[in-house]
Formats: sequence, structure tokens, C-alpha cells
Amino acid sequence: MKKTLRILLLGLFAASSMSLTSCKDDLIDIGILQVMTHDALNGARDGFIEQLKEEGFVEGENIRISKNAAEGDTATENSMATKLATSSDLVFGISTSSALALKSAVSDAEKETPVLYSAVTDPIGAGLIKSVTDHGNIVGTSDAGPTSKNIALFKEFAGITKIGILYNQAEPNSQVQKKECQKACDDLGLTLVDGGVTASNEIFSSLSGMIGEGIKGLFVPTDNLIASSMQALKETLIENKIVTVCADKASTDKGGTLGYSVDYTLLGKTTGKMAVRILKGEKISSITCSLSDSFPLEINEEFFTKTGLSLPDSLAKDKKI
Amino acid sequence: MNWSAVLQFIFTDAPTQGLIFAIVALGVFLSFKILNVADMSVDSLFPFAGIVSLSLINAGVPAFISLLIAVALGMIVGYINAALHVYLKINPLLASIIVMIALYTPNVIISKGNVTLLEGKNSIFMEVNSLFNNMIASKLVLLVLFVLVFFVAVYWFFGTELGLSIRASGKNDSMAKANGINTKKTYILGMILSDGLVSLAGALYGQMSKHFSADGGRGTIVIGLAIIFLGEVIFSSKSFKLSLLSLAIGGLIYWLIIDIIIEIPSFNTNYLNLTKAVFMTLVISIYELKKKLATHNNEENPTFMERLKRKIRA
Amino acid sequence: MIELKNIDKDFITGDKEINHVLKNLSLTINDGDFITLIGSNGSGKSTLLNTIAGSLKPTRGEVIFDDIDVTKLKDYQRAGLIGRVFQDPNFGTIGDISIEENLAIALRRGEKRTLRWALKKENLKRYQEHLSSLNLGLEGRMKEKMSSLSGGQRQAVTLLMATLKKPKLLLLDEHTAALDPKTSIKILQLTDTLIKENSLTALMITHNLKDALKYGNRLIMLQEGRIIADFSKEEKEHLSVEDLYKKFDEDLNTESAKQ
Repeated sequence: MKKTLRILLLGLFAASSMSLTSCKDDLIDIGILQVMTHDALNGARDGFIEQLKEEGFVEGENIRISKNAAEGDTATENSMATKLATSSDLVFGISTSSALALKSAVSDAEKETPVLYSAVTDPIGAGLIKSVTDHGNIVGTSDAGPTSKNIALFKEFAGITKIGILYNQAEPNSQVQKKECQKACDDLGLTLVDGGVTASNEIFSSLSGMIGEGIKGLFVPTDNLIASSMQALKETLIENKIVTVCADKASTDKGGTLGYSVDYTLLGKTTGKMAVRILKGEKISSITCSLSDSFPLEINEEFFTKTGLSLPDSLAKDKKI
Repeated sequence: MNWSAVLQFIFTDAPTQGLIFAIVALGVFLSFKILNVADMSVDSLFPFAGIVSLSLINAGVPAFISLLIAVALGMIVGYINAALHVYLKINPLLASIIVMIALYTPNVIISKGNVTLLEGKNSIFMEVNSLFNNMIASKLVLLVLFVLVFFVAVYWFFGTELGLSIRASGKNDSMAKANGINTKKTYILGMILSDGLVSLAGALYGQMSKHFSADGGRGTIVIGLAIIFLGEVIFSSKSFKLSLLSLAIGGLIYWLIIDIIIEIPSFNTNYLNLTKAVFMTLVISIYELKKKLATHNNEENPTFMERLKRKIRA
Repeated sequence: MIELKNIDKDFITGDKEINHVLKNLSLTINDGDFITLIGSNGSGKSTLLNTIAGSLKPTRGEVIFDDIDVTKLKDYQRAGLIGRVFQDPNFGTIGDISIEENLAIALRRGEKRTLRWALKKENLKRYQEHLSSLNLGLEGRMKEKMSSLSGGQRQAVTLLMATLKKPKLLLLDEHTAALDPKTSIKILQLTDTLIKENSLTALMITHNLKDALKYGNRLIMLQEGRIIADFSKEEKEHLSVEDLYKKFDEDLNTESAKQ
């Protein structure tokens, strides 16, 4: 065993000495990290890459993109962040934990690598940046959605007085949105049932419990955990005619009813625009972190067809084409 | 491929992750190998310690003190974990699951989803960095120090009369009792130490990553067990000393392998978890195979490792 | 002196039925007694041993060691007074750790275990001496794991462990039953020697009626939870195995006639 170890170590040393002579090519390394794979985060990633391409930064030609997804494993996420911090010229973190991991890894590597972020609902509250103008080497887009506008949607439907909220208690984005949701419910006179979970295997029972308590509507914030499970909940929601307002487009399409959604692809593109400005030489400090400002009303026709409920007229005119 | 960056990554990430998870493995070793229970509470305890430690530092507590407090709280959790089994007669695995679920709540409440080290506050690594001015060196020095101190401490402790009695209780409860050992007390003490070590690792990890999410511990016990088995496959547990050493080295090798996998250029990380599962299955089967072969005469029936060794020598 | 006073031990079986395993059993064991205990399966021999050792609590009655009532003490609390050798060689030792570690555990039986180093050099010398006296070549293998020893060797070491710290009572629960005949004889001779050399008080359960007659200074017969005979050394010398069988039958007939 000792001998095999020695041979392995020798091999690695050889490789590392070879590396001293290996050259760094002219491609700009861009590292992308997301906490897990699902539509919203993928949308942001693809929008980002698309935007870069449109502005002349193409994979293989002048940039090299490394895509990484940690699949929910924190330790792996941190290792991936370290890897990207060591080898990238610019990094992009999609989700709060990925952005934080990259920020930490870059500062530990004592570098000033630009850290872009997206799909972080409250970057200031999460400790990512100090303010939208004072943000060091970090800049990006927040997916804070129009929660109060979304909750107001419930009022358009007759007979909804009690709604539930399904979210991951361990996700800071969701905690923020839950607070907003509670406030909106208080303002509008709706009762809110808290269906917070900590693992995907709790989602179904949480929903059943809330239905048992008599909710007629459900709010799904932008939440990585719930987003991955929307498809599985569709049947139950339709069966029980629960009007489900989702804050992100993909969730609405997969199993929700409607919602003013954050368009993640658009967010990704906005972040991509920031990246391009940086790659072209602009100072990060001159870029302002932005919030999403366009919230198209996304409607899932299937829900209405299958439940027999009808889309309120007041909303029909807002309908996204 | 940019080899220098790759190697720089692997040789800075694997040791730091490896050393921290070696401490996790040490804690899991105590509960799994010595007390014979898979302590599921580790998945919540690891983030709990990290979250507590970071929150305390943010509140102004010095980094080292926050470490001590996090470990102390972890030991209390260990006591509760053991007490559920010893006094309420709950099956030990179930008891650990109850503790795991119970810790979700404080994790979420204290962290509000995610804790981040505030600007201007120092982790224990940052404080040491003021001496070395090289973050990687600071991390390595501090972690090597912790690993050395605690591994030696554990080795020494289990060589004392008290420590030996804990090992005895775990291996043969009746024999231990027949020799005057209060096996309830030894179980509790063992669990306190085990959870204390996991908390130490969690607090160090939180301070090292400067952020921790409430569900950031999922899969920790699996990593701990994987390191234990990996260590046994490579070193075989001929003595207690060797078993402990195998944990430290196993941790390093585990992370070396994970980091190599992460670096594979076209590797679709969707398959990372599947790869981990396959890898673990391989490791454990080799371990079981080794055990089987070890019962035969080594000369006539050399183990896989033995044959490999001979092939290399020849 | 060890006394058992009016011991009843009942077990509740399945449907609220009570199995009276020990019935109003009283016994006085004098210092220096080497008692062989025989009885058919289910007569309550092991239950009796476990009650003395504290692994079982009697339903009624007291267990007294040198005028101290230990009935309420748990087994590990009483362990300082008692040395035990079990039928299964794997039971009395720990296979996964070394011989010397096993001996170290036995040395502190009944004593407070502190942070003192368990394998002190002075003690290791002692272990070596004791192990050599077994004449099994084990003194050179102290660091080996116990599991590398044969069943007979393990029982020999268990005997050693049970007597390392002199017990007030040595309990032997059919400790040669799992061994082959040749090893069995060796272990019994070793038992006899240890008891004589250390002037121990011992209670040995055996299935082998010949051995029961051969060893010890007192023979007790147990049947259906009652002591039906208690023979002294002189009485034993005149008994044969057939006599013992007859006694068992006689008692059975008397009992069934009663009902």
C-alpha cells in the first residue's frame, strides 16, 4: 500500500511540475455555480450565456464556460466554489448559497475576481453586499418579486379567504418572501396558513395538511426546493381546485395557476449584460445591483380547463400573450 | 486544461475539507464503531454548530469562545440523544433521528435560513491569518493543529480505564456489566464525546466557509461513514491507533477523489451523487471482501491488496 | 458467606401466565465452598446464577453477601464481588480487542474507572505471569486480539479474568459445555487449581454428573426451582451417577403424588 501511495504522489508531483511549463491560453474562464439543477436557475444560467453570446463572447472562441451544480450538497458547493475561484477570471453564482460560497472562496484566494449573482432575493439581508451601490467585487440581479401584487391576485377570485404558503424554511429567499406574504395577507384581510418544510419529502404532507385546514389558495414563492416538486403537486392542486399563485414562471407552468412571475431568463440576461460590461473593462463599482422590474402575468390555462373555474375578467386583459 | 489551477485547487481544497471532515469522521467513528449506532443527528448537528458559532461571532463573541460554546451545546445535544435511548428506552437510531428533526427548528430560527459572517467580524481562521498573512497557510496550520490535538486526545482517552470501559460496553454489554461497568453511563459519555467532535467540526466549517445554511448539513453522516469505510479498506483496522490514523488519511483521500471528480471537464455534475453512491458501494464491498479474505490464511489466500502489492514488487 | 433467603423468581409468559422458575429457594454458601449444581433443563439453574449475580431481580426474597443485602443492587453494582464464566466463550471476553486489554478491564472489576492509563507496565508484567501459569503459550500473544484464540483458550483467559481480582464468589455457568472433551478436561482442571490456589468460593453448574461428583466439596440438586438435595463431601464420595438419577426420579414422583 505504501508503495502504491508513493507512486501516486510521484505522479502528481510530475504533473504539477509539468504545470509550471503549461501555458494559460487566451480564453477567458467563466465559472458558473448553482445550488441545484432546476428550471428557474437553469433559465438564469442560459439567459446569461445567451447574453454573452449576443454581445460577442462565445464559448470556445474567446471564453470558456464551466458549469457546476452542487445538487443541494453544501460541502460540494463549497469545493466547487473554491475550484472556480482558483481558475476563473469571472464567476457567476445562481442562488444565495452559491453566491455566498463564491464570495467566500474568492476572498480566501485573496483575489478580486468579479462575482456575479442572480436568483438571490435579498442580497443585502443575506450578507452578500452592503448596498446596491457599495458592493465591492460583487454585483448581480435580485429576483425579489412583487409579492404583494401576487397576493392581491387571490382577491380576484370569489370565496378565497384562507391561503397557504409552501416554502423551504432553510432558504433565506423564502423567509423574506414569507414575511412579505404575511404582510400582504394582513393588509388584504386574508388568513395565511404556514406550510414551511425543510425537506422535499415533507412537501406533500404539508400541502395535504393545509388543504385539510381549508385553504382555497396557495402561494409558492421563488423557492428552489418547492420549484423542483411543482410537477408532483399538480394533480392534488387541480383536484382540490386550489388557486395556486407562483412567483416564478416555470412553477406556474408546471403545476400552478397563475402569477406575476420573475422571468429568470430575463434576469440571467440582465446579469449577462453586467458581465459583458466588466469583461469589456468597466469597473464593477460603476454598476448598480438591480432588481427585476418586469413581471409578466403568467397564466396556466390547464388549471382553468381542468377545474372548471374561470379566469376573472379583470385579469384576462393582463394576460401574457 | 490549466493544470496549475487544477492542482492548486486540489491541493488547497482537499486538505482543508479533508481535515474538517476527518474530525466529523472521528465523531461518527465514536458513535458508529464504538457505540454501534448510526447517529443521524449529525446531519442537523453539523450545521447547528456552524450556525451557532457564526451567530455568536456576529453578536460580538470572540471566535475561539464561540467555538467552545458551540461544542458545549453540541455535547448537551449528545447527552439528550443518549438519554432518549438510555432512560426512555427509545431505539438508538430512532433517538438520533428525533434529535435530527428537533434541531431543524433552532437551525432555521437562529439562522433565518442562512447565516453569513458579517463584515468586520473575524473567524478563528482570519485571526490566525493576521500572523501568517496567507489564508491557505492559516487554514492548514489551524486545522492540522485541531486534528492533531483531538486525534491524540481521543487516542489517549480510549487507552485510559474509563475510555476502555466505554469501548467494552459498546462491544459486549453483558461482559462489561459483569465487570462492574455501568453501561448506561458509558453510552452517555460516548455520545457526548461523539457529538462534541461533530460540533467542533461544524463550528470550524462554518467559520471557514463564513456562511452556513440551515439545511447545509444534509449528507454529513454519509461523508463520515464513507471516510470510515475508506480508511478501513486502505489500512485495515489492526489496532485502535491505526483506525484513528486511517480516519485522518481517509478524509484527505475522500476529498482528493471528490475534487478530482469535480475537475473532470465534461463531467455532468448531475451524476455527482450517483457517482458518490457507486464509489461508496465499491469501497464497502472491497471492505467486506477484505474482511472475508482476512479470515483465511494470508499466505494461501492473499487479499486483493496483498496481490496488488506483490504484483508491484515483482 | 453468601445467603439466599426465600427466593421466588416468576416469569410472565405471553398470555398472563406465570412461570414459577424458582420456588422459595434458600441456600447458604460458606466461605471456601466449591459447590457443583446439577439439574435438568428448566430446573432454574441459570436463573439461580443470574439472580445471585444480579442480572435478574428475584420476585421475592433476598440475596446477602457477608451480611450485606445486595438484592436491590444491579448486576454491575455487584460485579466487584462476583467473578463469572459463561457457557459461550465469546461471552466473557471481547474478541475485537487485545488479550491484555481484556485483562485490564477485568482487573478493575467493581472499582472506579478513572483516567489512569489502562495498560500500565506493572500490570502487563502481572498479566504475563498469570498467562504463563496457564501453560498455553499465551504470554507471548498478549497484544493479539482475543478473537484469534480458540474457544478453550478464551475460556481459560475468562477464568483468569474472573479471578484476577479475587471475587467473593466465582460463578461458573456450564463453562465447558461448548468445548471439546479434551479441552473440557483441561479447563476443569484449571478451574479446580485456581479455586484451590486462591481459596475461592465457587458455584459451578454442570451437565456432566460425573464431573459434579468429582469436583467440589458440595453437590446441590435442583429440580423445578427447588433444591431437592444438598450433599456434603463425605456423602458425595459414596454416590454414583445412577444414585443421582434415582434421586431426581424419586423427587418427581413425590411431587406428582402431592398433586
